[in-house]
Amino acid sequence: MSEMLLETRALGAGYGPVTVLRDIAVQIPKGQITALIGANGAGKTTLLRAISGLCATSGDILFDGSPITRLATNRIAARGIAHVPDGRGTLAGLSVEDNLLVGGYLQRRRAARAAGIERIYSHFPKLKQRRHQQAGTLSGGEQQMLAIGRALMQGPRLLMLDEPSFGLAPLIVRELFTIIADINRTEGLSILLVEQNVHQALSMSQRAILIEHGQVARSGPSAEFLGNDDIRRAYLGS
Amino acid sequence: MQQVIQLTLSGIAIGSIYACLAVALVLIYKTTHHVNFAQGEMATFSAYVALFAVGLGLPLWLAAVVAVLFAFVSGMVIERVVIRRFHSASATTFVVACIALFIGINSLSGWIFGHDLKAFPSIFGAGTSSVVPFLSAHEVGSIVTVVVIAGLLYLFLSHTSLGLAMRATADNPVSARLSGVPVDWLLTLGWGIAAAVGAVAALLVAPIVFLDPNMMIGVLIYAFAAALLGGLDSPWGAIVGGILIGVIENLAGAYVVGNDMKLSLALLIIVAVLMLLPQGLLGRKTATRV
Repeated sequence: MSEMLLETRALGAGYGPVTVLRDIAVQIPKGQITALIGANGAGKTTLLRAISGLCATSGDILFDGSPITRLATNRIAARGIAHVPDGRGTLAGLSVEDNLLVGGYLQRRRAARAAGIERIYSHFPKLKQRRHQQAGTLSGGEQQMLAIGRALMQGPRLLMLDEPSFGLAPLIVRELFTIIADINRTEGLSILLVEQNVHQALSMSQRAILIEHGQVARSGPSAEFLGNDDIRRAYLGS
Repeated sequence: MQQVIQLTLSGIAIGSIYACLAVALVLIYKTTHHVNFAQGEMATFSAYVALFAVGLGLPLWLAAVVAVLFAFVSGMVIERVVIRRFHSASATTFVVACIALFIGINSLSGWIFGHDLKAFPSIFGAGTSSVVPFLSAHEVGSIVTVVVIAGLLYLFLSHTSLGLAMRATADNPVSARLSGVPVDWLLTLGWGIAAAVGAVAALLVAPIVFLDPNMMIGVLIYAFAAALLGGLDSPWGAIVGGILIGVIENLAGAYVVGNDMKLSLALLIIVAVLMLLPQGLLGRKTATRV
């Protein structure tokens, strides 16, 4: 039972009168990378937003066995869920270092925040060079690194990434995914990854969930997805 | 020449008061992207609270502290009870809510405390100042007050984690929430701080013009001009803008447009800034790369 970090039961979600997700039951295991794939508009981003309490939901979400369904977003973050939203969510007017400090807001001790920042700089040396620069002036890749750094500052138990490769050059994407995989391997951090690049997502994750039209169409080990002809035809173009 | 110096110095003094109210407007603009048109009326009510406390026998300085604390708490209550409901409303709806607050609080001041002009003592005492030539003790006190407020605000915003959380809330509330910042609470706190700073402005205005329910209407226009001139999203700009407006008002009133047209000058500055320099002197032209 404790192998599952996050579990949803009969989860529905939407915006106002529009229902996006219906009857979602997914399980996110501890210590692994879980890929969330599906076509545009299938509801991947909405699932992350529902978990973070950013949209109206029905049903239950359990994090480490306890319900978080109707908690405020900042309390869900305090439970240990970090969410890098689509579009990166950079605090554009703040400096790079202040962005990271905001990520460390839940960390009360000043020394722990300072240690956290040094850890982020060791993962992303480029951010250290630009520590006093206004975050809105960073390149897209640097902003994505900063967004991930800010999320890591929370010391999360689950990291949710919403299309981290969006709009970035292939070289930067490769660098970014190397770092993500590295953090998962060395720190055992559980990651839920939404990714347009399905091949990339499946090859770096242990498990995958396919969402179609707001419902879970399939879930299981990523290797099985890669070997499945239907998936290959629909999402991998071969 | 001596008259120019004198008018400039007293312009800086009156401008400090505009700066206070302008800072209050900016603090709220930064988080809500709306202007709180009721800021002046909230401040006036707090000045009445100070006078009421003096009537109860409190020393003036303590009455002023009570009034500022009252403003802080009532600002937070107004945000929780009224403003919260309009956060996602359109600009027009928000403006109408602010005008309702404006009229409501203005009427409440008159109903409770009366519409007659009331003399209001300065906490800095009457008489001329012994430190700066040409200025009264109250004028010197006003300048010192705005310097202290600017200093405290700087320490709070740039050197405390609560201040950082407030800047994050103003910059990107969703990201702040996702990082665990209690955004709703910080918005409430912001209204409390703005109301407290506004109350200080009212306590500085009242000894000059007498206290009455409409006392802050003119000041609000100057403060609005100051906030726009400095850049609506910059508290430091608001202070620079406030002092500039005070000096311009004094000099132009004496040499150019005459005293009767001073308020029109403020309106002219508002129009000119919006047309020629919409981001203000110190406002941020947000640079973004995608």
